[in-house]
Amino acid sequence: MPARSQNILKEQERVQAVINEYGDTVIQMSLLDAKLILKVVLEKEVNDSLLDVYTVVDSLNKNKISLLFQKIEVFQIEKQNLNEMVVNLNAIIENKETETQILNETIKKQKKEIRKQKIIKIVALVGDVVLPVTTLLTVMFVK
Amino acid sequence: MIFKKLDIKTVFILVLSLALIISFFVGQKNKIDYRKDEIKALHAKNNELSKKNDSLATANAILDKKIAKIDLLIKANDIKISEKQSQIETLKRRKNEIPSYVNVLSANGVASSLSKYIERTRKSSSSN
Repeated sequence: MPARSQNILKEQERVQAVINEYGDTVIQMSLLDAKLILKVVLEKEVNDSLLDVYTVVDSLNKNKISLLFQKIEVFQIEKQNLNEMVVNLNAIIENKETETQILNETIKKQKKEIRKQKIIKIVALVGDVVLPVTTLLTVMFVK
Repeated sequence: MIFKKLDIKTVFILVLSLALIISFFVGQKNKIDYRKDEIKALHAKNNELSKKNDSLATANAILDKKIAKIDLLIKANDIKISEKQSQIETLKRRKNEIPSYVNVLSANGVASSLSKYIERTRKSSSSN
């Protein structure tokens, strides 16, 4: 116990300031109060650390959000390109269809032409045989 | 009068010549339009479109690489976040343990803990 103590605060105060034998001012309180203060102090210390970590996590999350936005932008550009590619491919398909149509029409015409040529060939063949024979026979009979 | 003078041979020769001339002209008429120019134009258009698609595919490949890089950055970020989350969990656990830790402390223990706290605070404030 201090030899020379001086109550600065009122008697009913839970915390008292006393001057010990060496002349130092000492704050005294009950163990329960000291424990309460220690709890608050330690919790505050942990809360401070938690706040620091939360600040870092917040900045990391912000960084992640900006990266995700960048990713979305890239995806949008890619989507635009893909849409353009689809439009081009549809145009190619349309062109191919037109080409096929033209070729089919040509094939039809060729078929008609081949049939015509066949008929002409048959007529020519018949003419080649019939006309000379007729001529020969006529000449023979006329004489 | 002229026709009466013609004998049958000459008539047949004339008929054949006529048939030959007619067939020559008819044969010339039957030309098929292959519409080669149209097909050529379509081919040219298709080539152009294919080239455009190739360049777009190349651009998308570059964008894919960019996305892969962003994914790597996100992954690294996630690792850091999970590290910080575990740190938060540890701190929360420590915070929850404080009341039971303080309750069992003796007077000396309380004094020692407060002293340590003051030391830590002084050090951190002097370093700042």
